[in-house]
Amino acid sequence: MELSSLTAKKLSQMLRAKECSATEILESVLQQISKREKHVGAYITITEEIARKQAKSVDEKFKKGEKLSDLAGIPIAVKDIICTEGILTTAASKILKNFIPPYNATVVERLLENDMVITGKANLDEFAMGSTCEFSQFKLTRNPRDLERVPGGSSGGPAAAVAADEAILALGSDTGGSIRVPAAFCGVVGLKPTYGAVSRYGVLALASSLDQVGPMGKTVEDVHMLFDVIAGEDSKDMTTFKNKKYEKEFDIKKLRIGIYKELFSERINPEIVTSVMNVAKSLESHGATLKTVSIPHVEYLMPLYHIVMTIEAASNLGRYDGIKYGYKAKDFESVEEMYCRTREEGFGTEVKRRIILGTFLSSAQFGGAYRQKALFFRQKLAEAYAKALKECDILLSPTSATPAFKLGETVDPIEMYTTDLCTVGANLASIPAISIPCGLIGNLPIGAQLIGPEYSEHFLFAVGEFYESNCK
Amino acid sequence: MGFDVLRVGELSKFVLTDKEVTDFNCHINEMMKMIEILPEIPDGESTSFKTKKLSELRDDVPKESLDVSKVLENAPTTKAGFFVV
Repeated sequence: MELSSLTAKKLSQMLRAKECSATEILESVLQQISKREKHVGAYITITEEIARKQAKSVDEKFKKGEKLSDLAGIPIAVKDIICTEGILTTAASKILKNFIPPYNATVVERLLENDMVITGKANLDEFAMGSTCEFSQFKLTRNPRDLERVPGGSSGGPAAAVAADEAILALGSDTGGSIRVPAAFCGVVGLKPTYGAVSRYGVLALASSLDQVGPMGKTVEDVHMLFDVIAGEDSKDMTTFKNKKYEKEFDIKKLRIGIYKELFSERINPEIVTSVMNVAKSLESHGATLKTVSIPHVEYLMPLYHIVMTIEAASNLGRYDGIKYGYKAKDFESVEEMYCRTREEGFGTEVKRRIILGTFLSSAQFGGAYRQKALFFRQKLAEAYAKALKECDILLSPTSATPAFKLGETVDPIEMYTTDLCTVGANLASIPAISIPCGLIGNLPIGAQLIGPEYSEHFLFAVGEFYESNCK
Repeated sequence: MGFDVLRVGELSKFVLTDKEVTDFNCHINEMMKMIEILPEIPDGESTSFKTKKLSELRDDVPKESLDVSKVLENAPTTKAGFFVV
């Protein structure tokens, strides 16, 4: 068996037992990249030489008998929206095609402090705006399970890298489902943490009240290990928190699972409904209790999300002006024209569409009415989730309404926007959610989503690890 | 209230192509239909989104900053240690 196909946990044990070296693990991953990358297209930049130096350094530290982190020497792909000092960081946008950050994002610092090996920067929809990874301005990423299909988005590159064994782990970001949807489409595990659990410092912002960085891997255990590396307070991101403990202990006999009624409706592919219900029944057979739970007004989810996301995106992307960094237009006669031409030529269509909608919704014409509505209904939604999560310990739903689409199938942006129907709620309510593979339709993976209260990541891991060990 | 794509494009600092004007008009009008299903806020209700977390303020002490020359390496045009607008 190739080292690249093993889990981070297994490789970590093998490193400690001296059954392999970090360099051998990396070379196995690089070999897989050389075999698969031309078909899959997971990476924008492959940092082969940097990775070799990092792996060599880990091997030397092991030889000296240094005590290293459990993830030392494990190769990881980083979504190309996360700043890496001295390494191109593009957000898959022409406007940042030459941007080399002068600093690392906090999450990257934590990977390096833990001696992880960065294999490269993974593809995404431009500025994380998309659900299929087809909106990258640089390349197409294909789903490793079926090369005629999308990997999901926006973290399609990270998910595809893990699924194709082109990385052992990956970091993605999730604003409305951008970790969980590609995880489901590619058959890997992905976590959207509680808002404030992981620092966003050095992550190019899409929607600041929704964005979270999160781990992706082959198993829940791997995702758990990576979460423990990246999570925690950061003085550079004032939304991060410290010492927020979730007290409940996992016991399958006491686990109360809420079946999220509105996300098992006729909008969801019936085979997905069956597979996700099988997860529930399987856990029930080990002692868990099932209860149908309602979070009303599912029809408000997408409008709410699009108001919040586009208004925040329009504001955040105002900084790309051709002056401080990034692309600058060549032909202009005034500063105003330079701004407009830079942005017109630098941004892709989907990004422009969302900036325009966000600018329109926040314009003085409406006196902030849409934003106020969104705040009001977002609060009501968060309260509804909190109430449901008092009646049960976790909510269970499908991660997506369909398996992976064919490439080019979702040409209608309005249709594409509903892909995230099952996932946006957790972002709007600031709570954690994890997608776990739970079956196949043909050869296409399906994801089950577990949603928990704030700070309950370790409880979700315990449920997921139980499912992986006892129910599959 | 109508959506004037050229006006909003101008506010967003874009010079839109004819095709973009046509496409965005269509798509954004469709999006507005979706968004307008949200009902009005009942009278007297608060319109804030409450997070439990309180932002903690740091001491106002200068910390190490990025080196100016390193920052300017990414600027399209610079002069005498400044960005050129």
